[in-house]
Amino acid sequence: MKRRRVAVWLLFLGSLHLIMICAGFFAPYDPAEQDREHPFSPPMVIHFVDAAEHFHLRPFAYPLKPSAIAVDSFEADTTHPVPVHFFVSGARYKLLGILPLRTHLFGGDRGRVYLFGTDGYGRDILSRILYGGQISLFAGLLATGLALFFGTSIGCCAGYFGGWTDDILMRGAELCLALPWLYLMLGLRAFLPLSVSPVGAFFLIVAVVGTLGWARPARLIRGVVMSAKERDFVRAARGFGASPIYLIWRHVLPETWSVILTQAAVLAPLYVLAEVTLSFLGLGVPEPAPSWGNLLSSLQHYSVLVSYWWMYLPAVAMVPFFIGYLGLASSLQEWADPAKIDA
Amino acid sequence: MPNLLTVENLAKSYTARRARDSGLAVRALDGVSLSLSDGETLAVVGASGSGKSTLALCLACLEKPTSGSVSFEGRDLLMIGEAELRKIRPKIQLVFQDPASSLNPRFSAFELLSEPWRVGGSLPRSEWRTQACELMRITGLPSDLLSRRPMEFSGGQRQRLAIARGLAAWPKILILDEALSSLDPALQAQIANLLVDLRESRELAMVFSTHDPAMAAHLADKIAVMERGKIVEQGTPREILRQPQHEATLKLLAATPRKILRSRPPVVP
Amino acid sequence: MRYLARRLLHAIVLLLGASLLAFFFTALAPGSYVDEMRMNPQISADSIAALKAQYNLDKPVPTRYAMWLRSALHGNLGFSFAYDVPVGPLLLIRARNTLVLTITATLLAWVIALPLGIWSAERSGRWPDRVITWITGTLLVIPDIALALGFLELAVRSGWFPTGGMVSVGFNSMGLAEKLKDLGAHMVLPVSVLVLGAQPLLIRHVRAAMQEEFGKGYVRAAEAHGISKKRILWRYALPGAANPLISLFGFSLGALLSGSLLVEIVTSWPGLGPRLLEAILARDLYVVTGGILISTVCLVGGNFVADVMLYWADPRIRKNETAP
Repeated sequence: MKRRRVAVWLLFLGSLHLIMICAGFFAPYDPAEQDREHPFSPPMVIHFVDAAEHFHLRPFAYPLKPSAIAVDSFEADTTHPVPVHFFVSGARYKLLGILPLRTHLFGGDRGRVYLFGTDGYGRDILSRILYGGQISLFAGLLATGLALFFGTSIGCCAGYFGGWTDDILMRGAELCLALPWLYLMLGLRAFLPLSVSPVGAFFLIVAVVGTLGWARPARLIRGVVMSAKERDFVRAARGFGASPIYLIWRHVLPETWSVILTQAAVLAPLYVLAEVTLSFLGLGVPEPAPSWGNLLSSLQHYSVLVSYWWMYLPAVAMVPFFIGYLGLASSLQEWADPAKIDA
Repeated sequence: MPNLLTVENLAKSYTARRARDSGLAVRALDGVSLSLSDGETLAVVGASGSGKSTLALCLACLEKPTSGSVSFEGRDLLMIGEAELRKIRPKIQLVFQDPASSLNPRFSAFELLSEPWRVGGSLPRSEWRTQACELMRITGLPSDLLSRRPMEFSGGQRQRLAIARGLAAWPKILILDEALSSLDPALQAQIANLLVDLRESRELAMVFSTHDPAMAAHLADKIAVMERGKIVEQGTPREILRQPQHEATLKLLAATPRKILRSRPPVVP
Repeated sequence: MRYLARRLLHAIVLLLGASLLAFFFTALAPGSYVDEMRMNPQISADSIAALKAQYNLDKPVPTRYAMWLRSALHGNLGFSFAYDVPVGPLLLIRARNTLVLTITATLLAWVIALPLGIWSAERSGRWPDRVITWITGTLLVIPDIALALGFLELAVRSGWFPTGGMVSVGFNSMGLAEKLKDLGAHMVLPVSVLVLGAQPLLIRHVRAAMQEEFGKGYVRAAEAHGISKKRILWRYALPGAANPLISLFGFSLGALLSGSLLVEIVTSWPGLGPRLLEAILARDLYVVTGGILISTVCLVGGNFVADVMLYWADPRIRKNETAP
């Protein structure tokens, strides 16, 4: 029963991530493509019934033309409906970075369909959310992997060898945890070159967030290792001459898997959020590369906030992922240790 | 006969963390001395808490004693380095009291049995399966259980698996830490007979701890009685049972029905 | 008392370590405020060298740390390059503003979360518990940034509350009552975001702690004796749950200076957060170090206060000191 819940959440998260991975296919347009004639255009509604109250099987949208009434805003141009086609050929992209393709899930015929509207440069927001998600999620997951790798190694050493090693490592962990993490992250990011290329920034963030995050998992793993190494079967293996490395690898580490997995599900959303926060503040992935964080940063301008509500949509896009990760984390925790109340 | 194992003045104290300041310590072993020769069986008898388990762990070098020496084939095991010790370890094997905790539940029986060879490299990989089947046969376990996990075994089968694993390393000394205490009498008898067979077929020296003097009498060449970390009486089963000297021995014997001591325990085929 | 002395020593060591970390990070960063000046052709190399000497930037890092530490202990946290004023007073004002916000938010958050958590634990499994768990679950999946921006949008569109800054123009000329009203109006937005953001974790922890107490033997025995529910709550369960709850409160205290960074930036509240961000972008070394340091002092201090409260509240800790 419990295993099934974990599987359900995994499936849910997996599908979401799959969509992100295949961003090229699901996104109708190239994220960097600018449409200078339609900056800040609102989302287009998909219709089935046109202005003359005729029903069409194929959905369509009304393109936007400059409004006759209000300056700088748009209204629907009902005279030229843009039909929506599926599996259209559009901008080139590389699926998974290797396969060059041109097919997109949907697109407009003789016009553009902006489902989520456009930003200040006329770039399609839906496409930017999908591509931005790739960066934010990937950064978060990589950072999680890094933090767990360091955390497990250090926790293992501290727990297995005990004594001075344990004392020093755990004091170090306390020190890391004593510093307010957001401040420390900002501080660390600040002390590295401020203007870097998007790729450089990406790896920088992963490194910063990942290397700071080892302390909490290390403490948990240490606890598991300390109790595991006292188990009789570990002693028995020691009894026929096993080396510490063998013992840790074959007997102790398998005991830590459930903790590692649960921590992964708990930390991943936090680290994705860390990247989003950094990019939002201008210290993360810079323009023109999209990231959920820098997509939201324009909202810091009052004018944008007031007039263009669809710029908020990237924040909404994050929510399903968080639901997925939190659901996975709690179902993993229940599966591994039903007695523990979540913390 | 030269001594296989010589223990001199073994002492082990545990200090609880908080007690460190006030000097309160638990003396699990308080100056234990004994010796064991090739093929000899020593029974260590005592009530719970008398130090039997600690002694077993120290003999197998899984616990470091606070003082004293354990010499195997003339070498003091506490003096040699870790690497040297690891080479000697397979020769002294310990079978734990609770097989459920001493057998890694994630491993199959085959993986458990082959672990000593995996670690020590004493057997080429191609022979693992044949040897494993042989060990199962010796301990009376059906060989189709090789791919199963310990949790799928019955209690008695698990204990036999633990003993089989102890034998896999081809030890000279097999230490059984209350290995029979958790089993019901019929199973105890079964395994006792198994041990007798093994002793004869492999020239195995054994040290086993128990709180059952009848078992000790049935299996051992020598008996040592322990109380509160000390050996209070040593001798052959005859001597101990007919003329018990120490009050601890008397207490133990008093707890055992007389009839069983007089006759031999039933042999289950 | 020995326990407290140990915890105090622990806190001090932690602070020293943190200051070391913060300072070395800063000092080892490539580029500094003065280096940026080199780009400006109007400033001669000599002036730059003189500036460097004035700010001791030409000395080796450990020496700088020692000098900085000594002056920090006297209350002098260095100089801000950008503003040309001592760091201490500069940060103190901002810290005060942040505290106005966070103290209000923390108190409010606890006042709401404590009863809700207790109620949820008492009615465990029934509909009040389910509703509360569902609400906290929903809040939990909304990232803080989405919450803050969302509230900002709402505030902007509804126009009910001022959406930026701490006070309105002309604050100084207002009467006391008006001043309070103005401040309060500006606080509504950031405080709401902070309180809502804190609820899920707080409520869940309170609920977990209380559930654990309710399940304990001595509480059940009291129930069996017919002692009133109210008395059980106040005299038995709550004191028992004091341990985890006080630790939790310690964390809340510790986060007073650092937990509101994002909210402050989004709502333009003139607190420590925006100042830190600004200093980072300007590479103002001592401001950044000072900022990190005082928020760490707050964090470590908060935990120490929790230790003191625990010592006072939990007799087992006092007993363990004297036991053999």
